[in-house]
Amino acid sequence: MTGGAEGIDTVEDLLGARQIIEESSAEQYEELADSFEMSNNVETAEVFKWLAEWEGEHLMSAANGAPPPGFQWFVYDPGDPEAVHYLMRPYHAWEIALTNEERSLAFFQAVAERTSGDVRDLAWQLAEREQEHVRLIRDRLAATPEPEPGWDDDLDPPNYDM
Amino acid sequence: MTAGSMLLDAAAHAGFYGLMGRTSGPQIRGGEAAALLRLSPVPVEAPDDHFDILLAIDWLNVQRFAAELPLTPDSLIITDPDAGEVPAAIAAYGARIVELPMKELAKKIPGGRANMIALGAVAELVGLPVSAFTETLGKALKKKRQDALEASIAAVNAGAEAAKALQATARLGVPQGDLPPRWAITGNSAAGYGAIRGGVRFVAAYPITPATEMLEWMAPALQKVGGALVQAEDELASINMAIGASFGGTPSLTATSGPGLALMIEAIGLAVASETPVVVVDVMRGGPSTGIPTKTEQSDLNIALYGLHGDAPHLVLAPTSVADCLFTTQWAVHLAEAVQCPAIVLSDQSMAQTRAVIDRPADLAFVARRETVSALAAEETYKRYALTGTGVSPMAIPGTPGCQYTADGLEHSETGSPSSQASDHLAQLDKRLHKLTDYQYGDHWAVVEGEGDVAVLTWGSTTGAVREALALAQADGLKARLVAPRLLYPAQPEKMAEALDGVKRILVVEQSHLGQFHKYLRAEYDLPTRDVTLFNRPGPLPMRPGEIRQRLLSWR
Amino acid sequence: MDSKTAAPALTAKDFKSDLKPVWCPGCGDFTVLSSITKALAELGLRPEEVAVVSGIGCSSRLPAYLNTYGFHGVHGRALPTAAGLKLSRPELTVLAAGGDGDGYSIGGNHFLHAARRNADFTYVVMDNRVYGMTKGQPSPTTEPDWDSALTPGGTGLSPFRPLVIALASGANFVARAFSGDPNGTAEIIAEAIKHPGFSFIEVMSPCVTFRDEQRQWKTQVRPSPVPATSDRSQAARRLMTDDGFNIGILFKGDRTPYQPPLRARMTAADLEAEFAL
Ligand SMILES: Cc1ncc(C[n+]2csc(CCOP(=O)(O)OP(=O)(O)O)c2C)c(N)n1
Ligand code: SF4
Repeated sequence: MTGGAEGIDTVEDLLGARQIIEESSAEQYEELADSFEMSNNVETAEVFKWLAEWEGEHLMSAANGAPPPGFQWFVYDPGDPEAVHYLMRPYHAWEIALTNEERSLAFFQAVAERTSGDVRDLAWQLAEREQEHVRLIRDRLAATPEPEPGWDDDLDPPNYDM
Repeated sequence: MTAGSMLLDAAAHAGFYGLMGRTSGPQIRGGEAAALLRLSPVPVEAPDDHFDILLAIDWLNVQRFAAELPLTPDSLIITDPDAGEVPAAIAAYGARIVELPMKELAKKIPGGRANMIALGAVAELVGLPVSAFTETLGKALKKKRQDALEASIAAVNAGAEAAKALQATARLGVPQGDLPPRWAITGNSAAGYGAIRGGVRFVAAYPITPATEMLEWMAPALQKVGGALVQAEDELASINMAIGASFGGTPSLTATSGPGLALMIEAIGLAVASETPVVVVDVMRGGPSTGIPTKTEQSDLNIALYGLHGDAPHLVLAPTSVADCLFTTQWAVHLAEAVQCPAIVLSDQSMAQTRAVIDRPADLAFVARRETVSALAAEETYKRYALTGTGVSPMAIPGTPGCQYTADGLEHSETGSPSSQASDHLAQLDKRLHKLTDYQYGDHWAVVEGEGDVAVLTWGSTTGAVREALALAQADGLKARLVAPRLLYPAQPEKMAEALDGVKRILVVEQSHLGQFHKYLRAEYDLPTRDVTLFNRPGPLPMRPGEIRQRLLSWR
Repeated sequence: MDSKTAAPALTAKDFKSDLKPVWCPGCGDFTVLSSITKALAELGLRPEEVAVVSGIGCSSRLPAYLNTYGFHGVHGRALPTAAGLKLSRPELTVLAAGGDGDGYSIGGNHFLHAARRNADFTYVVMDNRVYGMTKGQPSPTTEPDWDSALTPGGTGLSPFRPLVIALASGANFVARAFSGDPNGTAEIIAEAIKHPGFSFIEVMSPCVTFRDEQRQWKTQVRPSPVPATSDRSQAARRLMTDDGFNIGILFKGDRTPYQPPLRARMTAADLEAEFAL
């Protein structure tokens, strides 16, 4: 989302973009994990926690590049009030993760197609790795029961008050 | 009004003491007004039982405050033949009436004014030398031309000359020799100066009678000492600005009167919960609602003590005289900062707008000293609301690295993070109470004077009248004690028990229709006797020494 | 070497506290929080030099989620509290933050006067056109026909126009942002903090719990077709045709911020002279 392949011309650009993708993903998964924990949706929180840690591991191996100006990455669309729901199930969390991995795969492929030489080689390398991620998340998703209809029936009125 | 101030100043320069209050109608300009002066060779703190001289330049609408101008048959009424009949409400006192053609005399002097004639006449009658006016007039007219000064002096002389023919009633006598350094000050400026001496450097406020003069005195004074006064859009803004500034580490204050205090109450609770020191001076006036803006009353005690929602212990203090406005406000700043809590200071219109000649107050060591943190050991987490032995937790001032926290009006844990747990609530409530009740307030908690098995309990500006009444009663052979708490909250039960040890009869004197102080005493203290009599009255009429003395003597 | 200059550059993460937000998953306020941290990091500020003041509401919970100094005060009074802090401690970077109910309803008067007073701090309003915290009542910016339990059939009142009011009251920086664009929002916030005087940012921040129709916003918003103007009347003319979905900085003024000098010329003891006889 918003991270386009257009501005990526050098190895540095690409490494920077990759860093932003991984950092942002880790951070946003963690934020989601926290917020589902707060809403006492433990199972979904655990999926996001796992995803945050998993992304975190990639982070450590990330070499430092210079992020292209304006490049940003979102796990889910922050402008869409329906992107997440406080009752959503682990299945939905894996769906979000799958979309995210597919999008980064598509991103690296797009970079590879519009560049050449070192940049192109690196982009293919990253795309390959992403392919693996996609497979892994897809397996997880397949192993997760689909939510029953009516999962978002909300019997509890929101509780705030101050 | 100006003539009254000049008379007070001239008397002060001649070595006398005195005070001047005022009363006026509601008009913006040209309304009826009276300057109420009491002059004396010794310090005085309260209006006397009656006036010896009533000088009227005109009588327009005087019936509106005739009750505030008590006279006796021995008093002297000076009236201008141009002003017409002495109104019945005044004539009814039976005082001797003499005529003095003040307006006519003034006309004979180019640039002369009737009030200067009046000034000269009164000076002559009380025995004040005309020379005492030269300096006072010079100061008052310094922006005017020299001939204005000369005209005024000529008018004062003419008035004095004309008064020689009148038979004098009360003479001032001779001033004391060897006078200590003295000040002329109003309660409002005294409170303002006390606040600045205590360390206040930020004030936000919204104008309201009778607190405005305090703010008007403070605005330029703060500029001189590196502080600032901000005129806020309303009292809600005033108090919250003061809280914001105090959060930033600057001792802060706001001043208002009853209607403004009512608007500030929610935020005072915030200062309690967030443990932010702030001083709120409430210059009381007649209430409820807009009430009587220009007149005094002691009827904001309940709201100051008990007006906050939730269990919200905080400091409530009250000065007992014009001079004490300085001490008590300075002390309030010191206490608020020391225990990190809001302090409400209850002054009132009569003290605040009375200009008094007083002995120079002592220099006081009480200044703002807030417990703060400067740095943390690495890896230590800062706990803004840590449970300490005293209940006071060192405060991190924004800018201090490593101690960032969010101050909160939501109930919180020791670190400041919001918590609705019973245990956190109880712990923080306990802490906020004990930091107040465990603090050592020393002897300043009250004015305690005299001896005997009778005690008069009072507070605020009525203290002066009670003190004088006790001196009068003593001359009649009655010994009594005076106890006037300066610190109203937290109550000091042990100290009160000591002050009232052996007392068999108590008179409570206050200026509130509901007897708010009386009820407070019964709620907060175990008085040593059930023989407690209440002498109360709403404003604006002051409690006078003679009537208090009468009550006491009737007990014998 | 000065320890301050030697300190490593901080990232957005360094401006987040350990406290977990109580917001509903998906609430727009999450990204506003990220945008603020991003802006503070980009400006090279240190957490202890920053204070964020708020009132009461879901959005007003924000200061506690930051690793800066914070003050979570009473409903509607963030602006005066922030002003008191800034005016007495001009060297601090001060932000006020809160919701549309907090800022435009109960605190509406302070909004006018903060703009008029023009003290140098930044005000971020997370506008979700609803009272989130008290469970879904209309706010001043709510559409007239929005149905709620408290106002069946809608309020029938025309909405408050925050940018118009801010501009007319004298705000020195006026912008609209959208929480769905955190980077854009971060840039606007950074610009607002840098700009002297009272800077106002209206952030459209959807409430997923009470206003799920706000999902439309992401398709409706668009970057403002014109750059910021420094001409107040031109800005006002633009607002006349504004449909509420133009995102960006509308106005950057050149009013001198209000700031008392705080320079001592004498001591408190010196003041005594005026009372002495
Ligand atoms: C004096 C006072 N009145 C009412 C409330 C109840 N209250 C708390 S938050 C709120 C409105 C919050 O709406 P908004 O400011 O738009 O913030 P949001 O929750 O939508 O972020 C109200 C009315 C209160 N806390 N204090
Ligand atoms: S109620 Fe609305 S504004 Fe409040 S946290 Fe939930 S989504 Fe956000």
